[in-house]
Amino acid sequence: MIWLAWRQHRGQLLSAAVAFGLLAVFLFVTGTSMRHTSTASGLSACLDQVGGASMVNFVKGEGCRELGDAFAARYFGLRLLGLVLFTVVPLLVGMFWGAPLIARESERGTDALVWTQSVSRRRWASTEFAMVASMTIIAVGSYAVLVTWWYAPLNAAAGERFQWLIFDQQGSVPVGYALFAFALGVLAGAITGRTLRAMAVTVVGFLVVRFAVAVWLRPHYLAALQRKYPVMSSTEPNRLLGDWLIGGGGPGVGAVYDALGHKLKGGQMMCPPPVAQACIDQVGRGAYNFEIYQPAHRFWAFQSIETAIFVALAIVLLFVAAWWLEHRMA
Amino acid sequence: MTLALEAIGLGKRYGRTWGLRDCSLSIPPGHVAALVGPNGAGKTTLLKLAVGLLRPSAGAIRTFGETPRDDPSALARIGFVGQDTPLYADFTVAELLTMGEKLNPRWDQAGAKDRLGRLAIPLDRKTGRLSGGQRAQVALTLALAKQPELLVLDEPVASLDPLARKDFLAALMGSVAERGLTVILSSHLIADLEHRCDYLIVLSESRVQALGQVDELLSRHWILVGPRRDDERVAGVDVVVQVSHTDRQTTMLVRSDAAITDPSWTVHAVGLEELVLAYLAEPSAGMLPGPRPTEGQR
Repeated sequence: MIWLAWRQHRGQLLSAAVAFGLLAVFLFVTGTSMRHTSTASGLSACLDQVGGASMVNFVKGEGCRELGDAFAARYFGLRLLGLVLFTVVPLLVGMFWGAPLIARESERGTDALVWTQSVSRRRWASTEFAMVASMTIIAVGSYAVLVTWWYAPLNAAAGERFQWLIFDQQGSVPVGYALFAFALGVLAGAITGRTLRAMAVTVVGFLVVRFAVAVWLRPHYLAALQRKYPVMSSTEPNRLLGDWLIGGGGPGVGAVYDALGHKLKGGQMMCPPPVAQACIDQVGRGAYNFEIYQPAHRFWAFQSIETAIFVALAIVLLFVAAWWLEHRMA
Repeated sequence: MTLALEAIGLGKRYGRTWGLRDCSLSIPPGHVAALVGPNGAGKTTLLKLAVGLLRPSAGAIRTFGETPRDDPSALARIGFVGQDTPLYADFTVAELLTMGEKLNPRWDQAGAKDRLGRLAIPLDRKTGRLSGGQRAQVALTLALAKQPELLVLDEPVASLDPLARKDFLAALMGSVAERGLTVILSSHLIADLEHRCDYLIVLSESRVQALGQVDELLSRHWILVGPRRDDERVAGVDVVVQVSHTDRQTTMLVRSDAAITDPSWTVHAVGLEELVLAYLAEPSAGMLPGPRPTEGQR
């Protein structure tokens, strides 16, 4: 059975390898170039100097924000390309490896050939699923390693590794997403018996679940932290550390409170000394910024949790698909 | 003796419509059974149920007393050639043989290669590039290499030209004679089955209409030709299957265990095709043999 599964899917792995090779060249060239720019512009040196300080004196330029912003702006196009490209990859696995796995057998009538050999459907399903799931882990895993390397300078320059969409492109989550998309495609293919329909179901289902998890579940994997820091000060939290600002004054923004704890407005406000009178008139002495956030060092904990969620979903879907194949399918 | 195929109250529903219903039949081992019926009568459904590709909605179907759907060892005893003889188009013939070898416990690789060699089918050709006749032969080779005790073929010759059809059936019958296996073969081309099958199942409107050994069926049916009459009762006849009239003449296909003695009729023996067509034309003629009708029913 392993022989058959390999013979049926080795072509898919080969195409993935070719695509990966092309992507690897592109990522290697641009990734190396970004690293040169980071060094040449002084951004790397600046970041090294600040190190892991949680508060930085932005008046003295300790936050490296100008350098970082300039760097991120310079590579804006690449970042955008990355966002689109890298959101799509797990979906491709679901559409082209998952959806046809069972559906194509019914469509081409080869179910009548393969399921009348002396092999139970359970064994057929477990071998096929294991083969393509392993291919997914290898292909998307190596892809994720490369993308994670590629993203490192952008992460450092913008401190955005933990942000929505950026978090989703690197680390271990792409493997979890891809396995989930694969399992969704397989199940949709088993139930609909049609590759195209299964592809459509996979796209919609994948985006819905991804969105729901990212927006409603992810901020709550671990209890968020809170911090307060004065408005009239020249130090602020080190943005390039990569904390994930969740809220305080609305989705993704903090809030400004007066000395008595009344919320004045959303956002952040800094009045470094010498403090202007207008600032005092506006918020009063003793005003502070309030933020709810997930600290940067939780990045890998969050990656692991989110990966585990999607792997668990994938396993459930594959079990349902195997059950369907054995008990419900023609 | 274990029956090669046995169905009891078998039914398969697709949504609200029945593809097959109340089907009870048995085929003892060693027969070559023809499954005939119009398109949509449920032939493919019955055969797919037999090889475990479908699950019954009602009743049960067994091959050699086992249910292949849940039992790979039962599948190992069955060879199946599906409609349009599906094969993996991007596999070479040799790769399909390897697949069979890996997936079946009693695989006869040497025999399969030998058979394809005699048919001059190149092993290194992708099956998608074979002719329809060659594909059918490859599919039959795969089914035979399993060394099955029961061979199930669903319209294997439907898409073949007459010459390829003749070759295929000749090859099939050769193998059957060699091994003494049980065969169920569906077709809507009755002429193909005549002289090749010794057992007949007629399916019509999702039900079994006639069932039995061909020679026995033929010996119990007669064609009567006589002067026109509208009274359809004939002395000594069990069932009148079909009647047709011309201005001066009446022709009847009848079932009778005894010889027809009425001198006003000319009696002819019946052919398989005539018999099948008569039953298909008259779905109400009912089931064949079962218990013979009693005196009272005559």
